[in-house]
Amino acid sequence: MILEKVIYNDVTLLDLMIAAGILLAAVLAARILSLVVKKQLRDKVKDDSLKLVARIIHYGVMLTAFISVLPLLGFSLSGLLVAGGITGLVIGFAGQKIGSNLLSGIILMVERPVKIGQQVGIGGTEGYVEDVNILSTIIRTYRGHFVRVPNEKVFTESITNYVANVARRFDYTVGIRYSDDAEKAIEVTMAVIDDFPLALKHPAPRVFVDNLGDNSVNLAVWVWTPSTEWFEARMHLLWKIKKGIEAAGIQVPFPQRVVWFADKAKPSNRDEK
Amino acid sequence: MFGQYDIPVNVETGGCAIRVTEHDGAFLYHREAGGETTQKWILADQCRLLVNPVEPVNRPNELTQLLLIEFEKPVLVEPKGKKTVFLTFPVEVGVFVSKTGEGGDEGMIEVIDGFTLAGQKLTLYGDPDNGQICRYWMSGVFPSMPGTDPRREGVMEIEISSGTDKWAEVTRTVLSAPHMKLYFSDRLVSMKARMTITGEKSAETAFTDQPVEEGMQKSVELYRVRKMAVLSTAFTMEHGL
Repeated sequence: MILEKVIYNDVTLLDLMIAAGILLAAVLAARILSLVVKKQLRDKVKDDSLKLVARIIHYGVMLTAFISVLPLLGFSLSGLLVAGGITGLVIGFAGQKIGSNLLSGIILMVERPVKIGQQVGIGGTEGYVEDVNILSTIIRTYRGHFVRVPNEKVFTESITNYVANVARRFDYTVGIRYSDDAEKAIEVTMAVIDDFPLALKHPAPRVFVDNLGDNSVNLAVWVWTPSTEWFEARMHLLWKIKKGIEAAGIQVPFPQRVVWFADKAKPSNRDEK
Repeated sequence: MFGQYDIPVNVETGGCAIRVTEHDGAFLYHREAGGETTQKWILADQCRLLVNPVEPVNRPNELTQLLLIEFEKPVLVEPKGKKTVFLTFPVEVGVFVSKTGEGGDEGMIEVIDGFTLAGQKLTLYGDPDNGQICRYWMSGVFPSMPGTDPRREGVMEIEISSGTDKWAEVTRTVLSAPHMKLYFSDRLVSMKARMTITGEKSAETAFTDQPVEEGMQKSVELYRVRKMAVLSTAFTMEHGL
């Protein structure tokens, strides 16, 4: 039969046709796979990174198909496998970090724990996400420093996203004198918070006596605010609270010590004005 | 305070002053209200000032398109019931400049300022992870139209109906700004809305494009001036009544 005609070595026409068929199928499969990946990741990955990923998949499929047809074309893979194995071992050791960053980058782009513009904390670095690339994430710290964080670190470390939720809480500790009326201080503080537009009505703010410190009665102040406005609110509210309680005759005390002299016997009055 | 003014103009009323004065062919806009002062130059040959109530969700910052009105007292609605009551809402004032003369038409309106004499507060509707930030307002529930200062408060006629077979307790309503239809007169700012209870914790709110009484003028819609797309006609409350 014509298909069994030997063309060269032991390679028949049938072998050549099968090899051609496999390569043609690989081209189609690579193209379809690239298109599917591009479509699925279009909204999650930037264009240049998406092209890179699609190209890696395309050439990966083609390379696999090419290697698989080599025996059909009369080439022995044993020598190639040995050389390839050694090469792979060397590249693997040298490129394990790169590979890890690449894989982490792809997973992060699908999972999207952080987005560009969000305030995050990653492994001790805090700031705004400037860019999310295939190998690294760029953060601009609050002081304007450029920090490149490898995606492997982003993937394995805890990520704190300060604006992923619509609202967040910030806390103050406000100390008042032991001689002051804590209930009045709480009432005044709540009134100041109620008057502050960025302090959310719900969840309701809370003000309560948290602990009896060495120098003061410490009030805990919990305030919820829109996540995007939390720093603005935090910056302004504390001073308003201070002015409010001072206007009500309540003071924020300095650190102080009461000294009793043993030979004078009479203890000093803590309620003295 | 509300209406159209040829410039230069000087409007002063109850805690608010708006002035546009001419300086060598340019106009200086000056506004004092609620403890704030704003000034802007207007470079135009001929224009007119429009002062209208606008959707009350822009202060303190443009963080939300939702207004949450909490009822002073809860409202119990009978199964399949329908009743109309009146609420109040905060008034925000929008100041627009409109080009006149050749080529002047409604499409040439631009918003130049916004302020409010009503209290400003935000709240969260829902949970911190999936809720929505809203402008907050506390209102009484009135069986008939209450009297209000139109510079500070408006009146909303709201039809509350229930599509369920159970009694429903309603403590608040959440309304979407892009759907709001505001009308004003010398003594009143108003909106007409409807709230349809669809489940134990859900409802739909929408607006009717009608004034609550005759002779009222329709307000400029801020979202239309800003050319912002409005994709739906109703808002769905999903985080409780």
